[in-house]
Amino acid sequence: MKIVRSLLIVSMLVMVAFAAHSGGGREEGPVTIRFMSTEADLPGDFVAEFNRENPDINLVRVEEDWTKWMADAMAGDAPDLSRMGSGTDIAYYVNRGLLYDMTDRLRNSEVVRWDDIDVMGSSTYQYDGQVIGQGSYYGLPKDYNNVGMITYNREMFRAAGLEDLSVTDPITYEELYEMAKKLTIRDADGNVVIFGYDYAPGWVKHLVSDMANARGISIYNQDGSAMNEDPEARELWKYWARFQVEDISSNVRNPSPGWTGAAFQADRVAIVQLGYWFGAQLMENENYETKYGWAPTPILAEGYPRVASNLGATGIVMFSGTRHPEKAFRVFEWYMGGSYGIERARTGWGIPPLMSLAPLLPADNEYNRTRKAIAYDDAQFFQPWQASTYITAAMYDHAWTSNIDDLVLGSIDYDTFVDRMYAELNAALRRGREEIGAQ
Amino acid sequence: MKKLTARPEDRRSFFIFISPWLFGFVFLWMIPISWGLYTSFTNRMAFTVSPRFVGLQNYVELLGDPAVRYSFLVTIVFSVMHTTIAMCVGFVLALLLEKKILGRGVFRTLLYFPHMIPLVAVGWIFRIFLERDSGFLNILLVRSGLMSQNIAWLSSYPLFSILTLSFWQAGWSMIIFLGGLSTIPDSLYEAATIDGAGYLRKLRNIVVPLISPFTLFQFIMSVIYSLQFFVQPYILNPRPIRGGALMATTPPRETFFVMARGYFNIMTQFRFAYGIALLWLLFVFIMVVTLVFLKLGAFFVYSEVESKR
Repeated sequence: MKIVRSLLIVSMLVMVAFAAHSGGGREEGPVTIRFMSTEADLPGDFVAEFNRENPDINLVRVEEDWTKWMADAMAGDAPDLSRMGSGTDIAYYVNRGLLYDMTDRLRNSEVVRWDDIDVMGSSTYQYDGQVIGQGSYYGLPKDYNNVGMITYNREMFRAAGLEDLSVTDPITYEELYEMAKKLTIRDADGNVVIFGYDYAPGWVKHLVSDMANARGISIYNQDGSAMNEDPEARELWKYWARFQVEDISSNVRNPSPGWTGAAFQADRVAIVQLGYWFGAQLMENENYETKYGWAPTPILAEGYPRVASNLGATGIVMFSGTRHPEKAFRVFEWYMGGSYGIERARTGWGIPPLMSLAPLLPADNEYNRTRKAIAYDDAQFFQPWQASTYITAAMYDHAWTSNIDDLVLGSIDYDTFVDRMYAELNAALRRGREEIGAQ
Repeated sequence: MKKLTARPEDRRSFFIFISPWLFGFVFLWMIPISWGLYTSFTNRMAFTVSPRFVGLQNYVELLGDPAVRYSFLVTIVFSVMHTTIAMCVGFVLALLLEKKILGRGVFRTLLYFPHMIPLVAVGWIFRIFLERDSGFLNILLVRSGLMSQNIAWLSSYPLFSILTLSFWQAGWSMIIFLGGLSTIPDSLYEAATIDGAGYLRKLRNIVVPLISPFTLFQFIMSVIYSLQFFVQPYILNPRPIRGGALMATTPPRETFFVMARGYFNIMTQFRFAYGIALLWLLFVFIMVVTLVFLKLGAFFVYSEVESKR
């Protein structure tokens, strides 16, 4: 018994020591604010500068890992601020009580002024409990992009006998398909050497959502509990599948040598829809000013309204369980409108979330002026994507990628492909509703 | 009741010394595992408002889930092929390097070396090696005239792509077999030679039976290891990997092994209870397979210790 008692005492002492160490007591000195981000979006020298100018805060960058974030959030200890790859899942996280409502702080901020927020590009970070794009702010994009904007290789267009695209009048999606088909080049063995058009699997749901918005329909049924079975909704998914089936886009039969943007830079793709930011990436290439062209986000078909989106936009959110909301918000303000926000705007890797920073975007040559003009033009037609509050965006990507190969290889037809996707998504929607206790 | 023979002060010392481990065992091992087991009997998702006990529902659903059954099937197929390749190659290499040839030590080191490279690095090496347009395998086969056009190995033959790793990992098997071969006394070979036995006869009647304990050990370890293959299918995924998002897309069906499916269910679909139940199912499966092979091994494995039965 003595031994057991000794062990219990030792265990309790260890646990008390752990509890004391894990922050139960009063903190002294600077408060540590953990900021989960990639190094590229929170460089060490800017962190050091912030810490020098704010001695009461010790800003620490935590490597971005959303799997770890989920585990930390379940334990109530997620980083104070986090870089969210896309605001597409804001509603999902808000419904689970994981994000901090920043509205009041934003209204009173002197750095991020309320009337300076670019609502067009930031609305995906708003959610009122029912509708995305309305109500409270749960973060802001670090910058945003009109991801439906077309970037094309003008040399390939000339080789295929195609004219440059208009920078003001959008083409239709059917025209995009026809052009891409014409631009696709195969070698003697039938392998695709140049893809006429390519997209990342994660883009499809957003482009489908844009098309559904243009058509005035939802991709879900009336109460959002299942996918929309109407033929016109199913048709939208088939449109994008057709690019892979016909080898216009990379697929299981003709894999891409890298992700869409890299393949485009390597002259393996003729057209991509990646947005304003991609222009900064392309400036690494020689002759970028004359080699690449830009065009607005396409319209669904003649007579349909223009609709564009920002794919959710990469942004910064605050964990609802943060113990230091005030200091975390100061970091947030610095990130958005302080020295780092200003520096980011100058680079032209995205449209800043604050309108006052817009003049800082590069406009030194025709290339930069054109992409900026199209971006702001497209932004007038932004609509938030039709996210579900029950599932994350990753579910759509899996439903797509796990079934598209069978369609490409001919073992299923288009309708079976959509049926399979819908079956997966409907099951996930059902589970998501059950998770948050929705009726 | 058996009387404790250790003196009280020895017992105290024992428990004091073992207490750090005991603490870790209970708090970092037993409690999480027990929580995992309990969770597998609930309907818990990542942020379920009020999880409830659902009994065996997850397990019943798993057994009826065609995707899970397919994952088990491909995992078993892979495990059999991986074990066969790794052991056969390892055995042949061990036979070659057992001989006193020039540079034996260098070859042993070189062949074992791949086993010391981290799995993720090996995966990337093979991803580049098997790439359709710039991969070394295609360049080699096309330039040597063995193939007329490049093959997309990663997407057309995903299982084969992962099996190529098995060749690389044969070094571990080779080392174990070398250890086994060194235990065979030279006198047995000499006696067999005097009796007129050839190389193959000696191999069949001396080498194979005497190293059978090593073979069984390797077989079981290899099966356990290969049934838990996890990160390789993600690295050798034919879909482009953007940035560091290695786990963002799921592997092809042919290499969507059970562990990867478990990860996918838990971390992508946030189906905690279901995913954990799948991992428990895999654990039970591995345990049963191991016990069966251990029992069967008793009939085939040579032992110098007399059975008590």
